[in-house]
Amino acid sequence: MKPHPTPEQALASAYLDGDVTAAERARVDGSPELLALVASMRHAVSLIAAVTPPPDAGREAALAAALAEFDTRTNGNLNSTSNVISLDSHRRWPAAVLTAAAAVVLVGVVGISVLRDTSDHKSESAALATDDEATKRSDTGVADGAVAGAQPTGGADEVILQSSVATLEIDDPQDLLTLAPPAPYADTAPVADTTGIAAETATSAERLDSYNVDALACMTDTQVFLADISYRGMLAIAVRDTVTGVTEAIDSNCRVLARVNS
Amino acid sequence: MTAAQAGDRGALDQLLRRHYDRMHAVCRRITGNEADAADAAQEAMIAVVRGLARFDGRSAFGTWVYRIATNASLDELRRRRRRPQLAGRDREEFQEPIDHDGELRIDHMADRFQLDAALADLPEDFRVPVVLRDVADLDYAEIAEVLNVPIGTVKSRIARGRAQVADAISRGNGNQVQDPDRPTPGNST
Repeated sequence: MKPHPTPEQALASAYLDGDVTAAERARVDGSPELLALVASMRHAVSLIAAVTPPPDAGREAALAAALAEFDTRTNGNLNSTSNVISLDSHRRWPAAVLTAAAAVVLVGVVGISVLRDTSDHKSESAALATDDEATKRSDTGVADGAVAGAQPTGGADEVILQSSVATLEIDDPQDLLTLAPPAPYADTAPVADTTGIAAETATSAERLDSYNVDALACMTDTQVFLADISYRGMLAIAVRDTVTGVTEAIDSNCRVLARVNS
Repeated sequence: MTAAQAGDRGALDQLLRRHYDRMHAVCRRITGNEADAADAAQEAMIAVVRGLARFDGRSAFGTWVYRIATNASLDELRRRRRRPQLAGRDREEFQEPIDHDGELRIDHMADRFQLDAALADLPEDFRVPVVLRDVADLDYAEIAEVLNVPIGTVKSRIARGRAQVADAISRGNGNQVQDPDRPTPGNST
């Protein structure tokens, strides 16, 4: 196909579009050949222009898709706006508290070393939880008295020997509040209360940091692991509920040895 | 349109609905079949939504949406070339509505098939300006803006494209019109 029309084709096409001078129009009107060409083109143009209307279903589907795109973009804009949140707001624990928690860890490590050398450690660490905040999980069926009378299997010395990580000695339930999720989860775990995603991630990851597998199995989906502890001589884990903010000490029998509201 | 740009969903619905049929017609003529036209028209509608906030009004809205429809159609054609074709896909699954009014329509249907074939034989550079002129009813200047070519080129391509389509239809109807550019069995070399 040649790229350029013949002069007759160009004139006939322009005639159809009304894009001719008076002289050109007169030339076409006086030429049967040109009029025939114009008629042929006009027929072609009429066919080209006569497009069958689209099916209603196709029209509605296209409109629905376009409006869905509109909705997505609108919601996406809203989401992107709401997602612009300062990381500071995610930092549940101020630096001072984290420093204090680190100090507690250090003290705990030192304390363990001291306990290893203390002959009367066993009698000291056998003290049991008797405070009001020491409750049991409803699904254990163990009475408070049983909690108070429970002994860690093998005694504290054995517990310490089982431990491959530092275990904090905690006697005061309020000390549980000084604990924070271990790094690197400290910034992410407790904040995503509305979605639970961050909490779930942190929980799964942090469980690897504890040796107290039985106690870890007692955690709920909304709790994050804080630390392995020895609560008044009982091997336990400290956990915090990302929804309620309640911090608990839980032993391997799923008993709540202490519960403190933040 | 201003309301649609401002995020009025109802206004957007009306705006899209007002232009859909003509956009689809452009797509139908450029792609050559209903299935690809439907896909292209839908893509074009989505593209309008995505680009509406950036439409600055320097060109007419119709010109802008036909440019989008044209590009969507050409994209659809390129996709079609890359994918395997199912024999009879259009006629089996995307058959156009048939006018059952009478036998008089049979000739029109024959013309329609010939037209599809003629347009399919027309290179895109010629087909698109013809469609924008005769389907979208854009003037030469608007077509030049859409295609980013000089107005003279637009006129030339439209004339050449129309002539080829007209010739193909005439030959299909048994009315041989001699194209001076086309070699014939007697004079081909």
